[in-house]
Amino acid sequence: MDLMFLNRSALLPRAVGMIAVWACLAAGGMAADATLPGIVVHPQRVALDGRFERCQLLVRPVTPDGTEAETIDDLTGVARFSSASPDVATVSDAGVVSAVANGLARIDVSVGDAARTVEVEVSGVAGPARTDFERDILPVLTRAGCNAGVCHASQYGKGGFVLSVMAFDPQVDFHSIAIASRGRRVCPTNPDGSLLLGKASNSIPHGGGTRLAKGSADYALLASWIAAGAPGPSGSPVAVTGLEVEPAKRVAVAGATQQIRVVATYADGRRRDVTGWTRFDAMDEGVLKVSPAGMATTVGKGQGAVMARFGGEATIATFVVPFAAAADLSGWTSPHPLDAVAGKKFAEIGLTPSGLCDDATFLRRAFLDAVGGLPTADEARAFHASTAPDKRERLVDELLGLTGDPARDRYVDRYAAWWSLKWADLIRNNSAVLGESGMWALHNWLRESFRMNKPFDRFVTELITAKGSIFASGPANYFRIANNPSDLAESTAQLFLGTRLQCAKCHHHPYERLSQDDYYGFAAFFSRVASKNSAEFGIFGGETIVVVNPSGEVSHPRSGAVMKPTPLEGEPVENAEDRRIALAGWLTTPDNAWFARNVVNRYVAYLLGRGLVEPIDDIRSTNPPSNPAMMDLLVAEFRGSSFDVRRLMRFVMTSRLYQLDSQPTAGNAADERFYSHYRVKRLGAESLLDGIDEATGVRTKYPSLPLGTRAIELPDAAAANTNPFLVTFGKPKRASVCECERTPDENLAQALHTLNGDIVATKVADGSGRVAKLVAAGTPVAACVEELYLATLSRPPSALEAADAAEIVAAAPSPTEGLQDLLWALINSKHFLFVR
Amino acid sequence: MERVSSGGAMTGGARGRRAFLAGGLAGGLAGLSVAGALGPTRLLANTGHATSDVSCIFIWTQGGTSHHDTFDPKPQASDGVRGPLNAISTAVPGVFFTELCGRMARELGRYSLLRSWNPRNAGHGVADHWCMSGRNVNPTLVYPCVGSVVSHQHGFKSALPPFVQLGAHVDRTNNGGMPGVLGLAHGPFEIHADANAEKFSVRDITPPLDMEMARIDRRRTVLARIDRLQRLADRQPTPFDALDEHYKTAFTMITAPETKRAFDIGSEPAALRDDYGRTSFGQRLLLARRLVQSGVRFVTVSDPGWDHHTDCFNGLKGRMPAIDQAIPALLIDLEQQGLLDKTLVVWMTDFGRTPKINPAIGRDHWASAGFVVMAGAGVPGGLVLGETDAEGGLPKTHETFTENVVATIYHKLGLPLDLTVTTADGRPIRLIEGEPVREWI
Repeated sequence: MDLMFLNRSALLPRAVGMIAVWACLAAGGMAADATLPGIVVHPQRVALDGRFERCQLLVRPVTPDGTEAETIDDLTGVARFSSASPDVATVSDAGVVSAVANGLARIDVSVGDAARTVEVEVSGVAGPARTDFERDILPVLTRAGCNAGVCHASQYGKGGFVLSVMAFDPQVDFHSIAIASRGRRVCPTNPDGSLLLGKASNSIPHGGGTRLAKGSADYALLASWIAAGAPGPSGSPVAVTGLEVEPAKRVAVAGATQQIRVVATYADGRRRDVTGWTRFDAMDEGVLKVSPAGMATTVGKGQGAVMARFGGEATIATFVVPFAAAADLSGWTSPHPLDAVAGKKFAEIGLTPSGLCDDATFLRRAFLDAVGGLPTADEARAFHASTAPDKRERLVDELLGLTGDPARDRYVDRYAAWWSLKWADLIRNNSAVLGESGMWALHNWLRESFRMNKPFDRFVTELITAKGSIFASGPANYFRIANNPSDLAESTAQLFLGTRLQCAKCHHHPYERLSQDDYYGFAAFFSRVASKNSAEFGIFGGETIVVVNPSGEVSHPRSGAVMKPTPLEGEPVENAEDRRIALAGWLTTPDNAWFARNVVNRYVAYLLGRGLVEPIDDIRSTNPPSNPAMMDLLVAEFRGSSFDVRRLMRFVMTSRLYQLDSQPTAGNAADERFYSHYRVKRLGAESLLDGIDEATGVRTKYPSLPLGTRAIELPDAAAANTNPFLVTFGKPKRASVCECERTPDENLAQALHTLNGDIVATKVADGSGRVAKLVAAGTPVAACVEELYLATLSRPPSALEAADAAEIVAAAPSPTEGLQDLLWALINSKHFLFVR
Repeated sequence: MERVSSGGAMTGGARGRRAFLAGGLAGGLAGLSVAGALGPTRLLANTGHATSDVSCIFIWTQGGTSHHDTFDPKPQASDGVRGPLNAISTAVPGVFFTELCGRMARELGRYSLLRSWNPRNAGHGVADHWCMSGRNVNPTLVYPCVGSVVSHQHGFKSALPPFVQLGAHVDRTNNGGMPGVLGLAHGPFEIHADANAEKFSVRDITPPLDMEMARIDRRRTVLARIDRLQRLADRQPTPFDALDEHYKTAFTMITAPETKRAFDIGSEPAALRDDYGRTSFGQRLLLARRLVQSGVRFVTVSDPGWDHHTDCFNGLKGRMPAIDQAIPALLIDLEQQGLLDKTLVVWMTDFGRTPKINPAIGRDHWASAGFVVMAGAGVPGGLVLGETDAEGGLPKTHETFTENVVATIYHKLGLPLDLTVTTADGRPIRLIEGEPVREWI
């Protein structure tokens, strides 16, 4: 396996060296001409059918066989282009060929002495211009940004001119452009006098500035359409069915350029170069930037993407800029499959991972990640005393309840509490919405599900097909939290597919192929679920029953069509008894890639501090995983285990990747995406308060729950509004299904709260707390210090720390005060506040 | 997390405290032993961009203060609309208030009154969000309130946080008064303690358990020593750097003399405290002035109990005197301190109340008329804008919407009206739409 990494990384210096040669060229260093063996132009033949058609040429060097395509340099920016037949077709300095008249043309392309020709065939220019509103006009407006959400597609438009977001509603757009305001925006007898062109070219003062230069090809295209009488939408446009970008992936050093070419495929099979009407956006501005014409420039190290959007479709071109020419993976010899895919990524991206973390760090990390709390001082002592070579694996199995020995599976309750909390946050269990009884029913179902390690497909199926009394059936409460087809569709898609459908409710999703059809087709799964109140039914009276009605439909807001229940990007499915059963069947079928990907991504984020996809519940084709191979591997593992979440966690937690030190090295400090060092994270509100309780020996009492109940065991969201500590540290109020409701950022109020707040101060000074008990028992100072370190940082102090602590205590007015100060400082130290 | 731009051009990263502290403040907690090492000027100097010097005191009477029974009486209307309160004349001839606003009436020359606000909303919670952000509630994204935008854009001016909320009386159901897409770090620093209480202390800023400064200093040294031993190398994970910055700011805040001064309301002359009124609201307003003086950029002063569905007139007789006493006192005080030009004072409430008095002698929620008071920062005094119809039900002239009021606040505080932020998922969000009120500019 090591050999394979070396091979792969050995390629990089060569590629990078080559780029350096061409970079000389780019800088005008023509002395390098002799080394350029020749150039390749793509496409080699161009066919332009129509007066306004264009085609982007790409130029690259001829390269030795075996060079990986993605490392090949792009010469488009430095090539010279000229047309031998400008009366038929012209070519711009940027390599864009434009139609002029029917016929054949030759384009000459050269870089230094290397030259090539491209043949161009132009047709469809003679006769009246054939401009189509949907195919030709709307893309111009979209590309120019006119229908962006902050411009004319904002709620009231701008200056009375309203367009639909990214042209999703051609009828609205046509009405606004050609009919509204008594048609004054277009003037067929004098196109240049049209308000549309005057504003767009800023010859009439325009709040949005110049969007289309007078004399540009797109200006001429709009003018031609206006001159033709501004014909409206055909009503049956040939839809765009796919977009291809070339190149789809590029590996380069920083400072490299790459022209991107975009080809659209239409439903009638036609392929068309649409580079000139594509909107390009840099998805990671730290790595690259991109010009409106699709010329990308790498600016920093890492991995980023250019998103290309045209005609309701979106795709990306991935750019990899290695952190270093080669990664040192000599120590990376783990047999774990996860480490193999991680290692390949390290090699590609040029990152050398940090070393393994020590046992004390691992102990604390594994406890906090698996069961959401600290080990006790005694548990920590026992772990450190063990000499078993596999003690980390044994600990993981114990924490996850996978030892097979009931006596050792003693953390199952804590595990169930911790993961119930996580999923209760996402599902939004809240007595303010469900009442006490409903909240407890859902809580108990969650606890039971995690205690028995219910396979995740069963967990989801039970939840989304639940019915009956919300007091008796915990999961039925899901249909009270969101209680209409739209909200249920959005929540379900976000929670169990990792897809944010919300955008598509009102308009075509701007970054996705998802349309309103997809949204309302998905909502139709929930059109027949309802609830009814019963005054008589149930021992508590006034109970709510979730029922499935025999009828009920969702219709499309614009066409009014009744939508058939349809999975995303799938064919309609029906179930006469309950449509939700059909949905659950589709969701959990093993070949539904979304389902497993979503769970995998969440658990990777919980354990490794960052999802393969971020935001972790926004999985879409234009937001790819940082390491696709790792995603595929984990998805296969998760499916192979029949959706066993504990096994998924064990798979990750026993990898070398999970056990890396959080201390970054000079070479990997800049990495935030590839797990080259463990990503430190602040303890969540509940774990932190539990940890402080544990460390100080003083438990927090929560209203109407027995003393000793941990914060992670709180069933309800009420404490997120009432407990000052949990409020300050951002316990989710369970108002949103978004993972982002729990904010990981630390803030000033939190710092003040632990440094200067009365909660920590009171617990530290408590007369029956840990310090008071140690002192009362006459424990020697050194033993007290060791105990405080074990209770807070789960490790004994180092020799230096022990000596320093002894000094601190000796210098204090009394041992009690000194030990209190020490405990207070340990609680406020980074090694306590963070999982590291 | 978010990028910020104005006028369409991207201009660098978030201007959080972290961003501008990061400049010269590396080195962990070791520097903590020098109290006040981070002077306020140092903080400001590191921002590297011009900031507005206008602060804002935003008064929020939660529940919906009746416009009929305060600033927009209709003495000619029928009994069922007019109510029992008498109209009185004001400093502006021809303008009448009710008898509950005696001091406000005399001091009308110090502020401007909008009588033709159309809130377009009659829901609590929605109101808090809308009035404080200028945006209606949107289920898919939470717009930030102005205080958070100020924090995000202008950052710290002194050791005190840029955005403070006094009192807990903001409805958070729809994220009213919250930072939304800007992130928790830009939320208000909340002070719920009663500034009128004998022993007023501020949670988390005033030392806990009456701890002496000497012990706080000792603890800070202990923490710095422990931190030094935990530190493995000069380079540390990024979140640790962030914590170091927060700790420095926090310790500065705890120990800075200006913090102590800002909250030492007892040091105000007794006569001035009396002039504000010895009420929770009055002393809160006085505290707001002290905070603004100490470098807080935006202070929300909240006051509860204005949802008068029943027994409206007695209710108002209970609540209104404190307000009528304190707001003119604030305006006079700001002028005497030379702060009025640099301090915008705004009073808003949820919405107006129904013209018709209900059978419980109350007024219910009213979505289409209400009042706004605005003063300072160049807002002309004595200016009464707009009027409602004969029953106070609908604006007749100069109809003004919530977004116009909030856009005016943006403008006064030096926030661009085309301010755009990009959310974590890449969606560009224009924060405010709507023109400021011309007469207030």
